[in-house]
Amino acid sequence: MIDSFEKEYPYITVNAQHIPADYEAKMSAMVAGNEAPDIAYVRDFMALDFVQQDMLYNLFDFIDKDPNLNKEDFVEDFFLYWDEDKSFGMYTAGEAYALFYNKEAFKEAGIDDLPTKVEDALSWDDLVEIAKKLTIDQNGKNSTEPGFDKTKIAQYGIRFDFNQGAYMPLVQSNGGDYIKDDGSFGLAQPEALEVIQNMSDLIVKYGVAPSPAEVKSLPSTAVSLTTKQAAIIMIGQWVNLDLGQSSVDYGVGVLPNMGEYKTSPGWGTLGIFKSTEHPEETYLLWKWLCSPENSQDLYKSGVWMPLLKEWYTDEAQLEKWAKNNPAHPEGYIDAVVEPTLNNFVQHPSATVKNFAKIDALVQPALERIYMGKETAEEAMKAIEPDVNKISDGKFR
Amino acid sequence: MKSPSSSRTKATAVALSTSVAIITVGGISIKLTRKNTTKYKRRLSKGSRDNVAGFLFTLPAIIGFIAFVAGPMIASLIFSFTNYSISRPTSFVGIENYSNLFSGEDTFFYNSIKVTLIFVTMNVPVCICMAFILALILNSKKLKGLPFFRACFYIPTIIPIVATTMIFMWLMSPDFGLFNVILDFLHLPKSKWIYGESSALPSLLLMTAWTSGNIMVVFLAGLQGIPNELYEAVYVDGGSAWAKFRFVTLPMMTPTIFFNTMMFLISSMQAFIPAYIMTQGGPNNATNFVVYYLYRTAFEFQEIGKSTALGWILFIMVISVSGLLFWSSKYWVTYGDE
Repeated sequence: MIDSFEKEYPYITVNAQHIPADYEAKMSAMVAGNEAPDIAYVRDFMALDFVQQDMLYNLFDFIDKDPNLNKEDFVEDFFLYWDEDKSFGMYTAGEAYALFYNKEAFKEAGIDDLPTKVEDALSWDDLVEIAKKLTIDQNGKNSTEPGFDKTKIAQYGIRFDFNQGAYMPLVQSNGGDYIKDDGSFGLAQPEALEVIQNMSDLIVKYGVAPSPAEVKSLPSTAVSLTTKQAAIIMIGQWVNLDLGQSSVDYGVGVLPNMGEYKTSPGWGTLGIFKSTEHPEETYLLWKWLCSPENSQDLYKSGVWMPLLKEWYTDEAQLEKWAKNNPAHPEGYIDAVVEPTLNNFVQHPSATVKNFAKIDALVQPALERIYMGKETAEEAMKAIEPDVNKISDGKFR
Repeated sequence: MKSPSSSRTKATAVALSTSVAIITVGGISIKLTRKNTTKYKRRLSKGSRDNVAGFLFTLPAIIGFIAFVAGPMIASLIFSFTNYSISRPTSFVGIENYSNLFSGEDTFFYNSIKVTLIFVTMNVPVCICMAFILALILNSKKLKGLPFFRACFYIPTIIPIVATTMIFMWLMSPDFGLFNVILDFLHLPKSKWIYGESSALPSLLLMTAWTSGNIMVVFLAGLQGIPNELYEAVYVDGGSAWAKFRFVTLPMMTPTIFFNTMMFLISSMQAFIPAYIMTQGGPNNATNFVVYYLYRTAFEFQEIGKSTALGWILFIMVISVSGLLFWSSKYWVTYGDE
């Protein structure tokens, strides 16, 4: 991708650097040392920190001047704002959460495919029932049968991550929030508590989902689906990359609906640093990176979704990436593309002030809940006073 | 576009880490400096040429000390009174960083102190005793294949700590790990090891005990330095093996025990790598060591000023504990010539 960019603009040389691990620490150190790159992947909440100190460009400064591109050409929800009309960038790519499942596991359990249309989305109770039937011990018994041994599970019904990615779309769907608009701690309020308690019940009460300790013995989320250690995974659509490359027969479905259907993206953005000596050239590179024409493989392989709206609405463009390839199973358009345009909500890390510090309190509380030590209400109410001390509302 | 790696970046990293790194050598460096000054005085009287030569020879060490130890330490002390953050303009805030930590406004500070102290009080006695007992066994001349066993117990020390942590993560895996397989085989209840809140610290202790072969080697050297005549004297007096241990080995070993305890105490207080690689401070902050919290404060919460304050608090803690140990040493450490 960089090579083709340099070919297109021979007067620009891109010095790309790959940081294999501990990205955020390295990034912080580079910025602190006045050696910020011109453009880089930045976690949304870090970018918010940078932008308040005027370290990143407002993306609209470039787009407004660009004769070939309009703000309206993009999916509006992919812009990340720190203030009205002030965007520190867009998501690195489009992403959205959904359910992915192993079709073979479904056939063996005699369960119908998951619904792909938002209006048919499962209720929570339906999902629990399906997950119960898909949880199978080493003797082949599922969790609804007598003699089921929950200490020796061969296949979990469902697996989800323990960060904002999995629970937040459901909390939002249920009318809750992480931090409410008035700055109060949303996760300690009934709409959110219900969702988090439900998710904890999957692990603690029904034993149909792996706990934070149990996932340590499992391979990555994608691999656990292909090896049938998990029948359903609740994850972002980037997992298509791994699933598409494997030989597994998998399907995609919408998330359960708790009221008003919601899906959410990832949390990375490409920020253009004000310290750059070449803002125009850096913008050209940004434009190059987010144009599907230049990197169709990334979209076709399933890891990214385009940022430009046309690629979602135009049938011919959709053909180029979202159809007829192993990384985009049947139903993908209904289950992922449509909700991305119509039912999208950003994660709190992109909207909440002081997110890193608040989440440092929330994560251990979630661990206590998912390990069955405390109920959702006990854990969240316990950290509520501390959260209130550092909560400062939202941006914009 | 710019090359992102630069000396200034490194300098910041050094400033953060050295306030901790200095502590490791604090104990010995005092002695070294004293020796140097006495030599120096003698040379002074010989003439100024020697003096210059001596100064030139020590210059690399002096420059290194100023650039990589003293400089960053002073810088970090100054930073600890500022709100220095990666993205914010820096200003002096007085003792706010310290008061914020001690007042309990910071939710993790007392937790990190507690976790560190619990770890140290478990880790130091267990590892020192284990290494000492191993050294006693491996010092016995009756044991066959001594070099083999000595190598066996020392090898874990030369394995990179990151590799060790990876191995232990596998061993301690709740479902497939070897440890739980063994427990299961013996019909004992399984443990969640590093993934359980109450078992995380003892599990890390198990790992550090496995890698304490270097302590054992120092003990072994100490044991071999005990003159045989002393044992013979006990033998002549009709003393038992216990008497040999109680009245010869143990008193003769106290300086070595003192040295090992001091070194291991300091390194235990700076525990970081297991928390960083294996547990990320969890579960539920059960392994949130001070140094790990320092790292999080700097790079996750981007509050470098506050993280340097943490570094200095740890520094004072280490000095106090070491000082206490030094003070106590006159009551229990016996040197050969006394």
